[in-house]
Amino acid sequence: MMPPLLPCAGPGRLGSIAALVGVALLGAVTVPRANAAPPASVLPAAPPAPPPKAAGERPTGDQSAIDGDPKARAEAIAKARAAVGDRDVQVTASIVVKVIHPAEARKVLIDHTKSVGGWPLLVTNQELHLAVPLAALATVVDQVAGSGIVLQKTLQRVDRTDEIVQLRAKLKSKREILARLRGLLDDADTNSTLRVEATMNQLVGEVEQLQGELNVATASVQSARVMVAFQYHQRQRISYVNSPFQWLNKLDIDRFLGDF
Amino acid sequence: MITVPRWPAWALEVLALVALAATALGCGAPVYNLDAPQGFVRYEKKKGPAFITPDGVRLRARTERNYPKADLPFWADAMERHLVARGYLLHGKRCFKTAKGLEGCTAEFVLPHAGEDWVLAETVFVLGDDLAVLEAAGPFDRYQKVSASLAKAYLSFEPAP
Repeated sequence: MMPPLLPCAGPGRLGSIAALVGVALLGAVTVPRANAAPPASVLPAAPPAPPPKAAGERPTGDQSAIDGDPKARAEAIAKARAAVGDRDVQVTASIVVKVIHPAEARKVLIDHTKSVGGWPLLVTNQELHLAVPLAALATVVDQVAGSGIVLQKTLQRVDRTDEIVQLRAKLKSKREILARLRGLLDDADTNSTLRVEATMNQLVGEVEQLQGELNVATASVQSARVMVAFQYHQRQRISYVNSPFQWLNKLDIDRFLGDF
Repeated sequence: MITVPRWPAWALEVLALVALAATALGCGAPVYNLDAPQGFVRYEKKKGPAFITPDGVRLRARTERNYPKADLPFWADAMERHLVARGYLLHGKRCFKTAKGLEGCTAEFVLPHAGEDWVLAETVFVLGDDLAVLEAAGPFDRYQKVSASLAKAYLSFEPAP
């Protein structure tokens, strides 16, 4: 049995300690609902929930955003940056580019990314994922596009404001419960101390998990992601559909090579 | 009693010879003239123009029925829609006139094949009741090296007189 952390208090306080532990447990196991504030008796008022997302703020795959001329691309990326100003927006640019020497292109892109304050997240023979400061996104996208023949480009914006606000609110409430429990240990007897400790251990685990999720979510909106693929390799996209025009159904790489 | 007139033996022999000659001369299927693109060699024994590069980029012409009868923009659009629906990535499209004034359209598609990115290029010409289809394919990087010479060769395309 673990020794109590602090001297025990009299048994008269057992009822109130048990009640507080019960409240803590309830808080620990209850999954807060979206836009719901924690109980006022335990927690201070949570930040107000953000308004529902408008259609324009939903995750978007914006192929045309970085298609076309550099001016349009710059405007699209500037728009993405502007959105980041008042909302927590995760910006991801995906580019499929064909280059003659992927290894050389990869090295040049990594060097350029580092020079503008970014860093590589994933480096493989066929893929390169980069984290770049939002301000440098346009230059990195241009660098990638200029390194070869661009087959496909998309710019995606995902609003993570709600998620981050909720994570912060949950974290704050759990930390306050933890602080209250810590205060109870001064006056608790052995049994109560053990129960409080068990609850605190559980809460600490949850706080750490929430803090990790918050760190990931916050980091994802503080820099943009550039996903570069050197190969158009989406095999699952090739499907067999029938055309009403018979000769079109013969247009197929396997048929062509087989008949050649 | 009804008697069925019989063909004389010599007439059957003549018919057989005519059919054989027609087959040998390729009657019923249009024949095309197409200059060999730079870097390609021609398969002399294949029916219709067929070419290949040392690293395996292939080009071949074939004929399809223009049915239902439609014009070039119709077929170019239908072809693009069909292949995009299948998941091919449209990489480029251009329409042009050959040296003889024949209008054609080329669409290049990228697709995964055998662990590599390949290009399948389809060029269509409308020839009355027929469609001439020039098909070229090869791994992306190898195709890119000869795409200009292919485009130049397409300008020489014409139905054989």
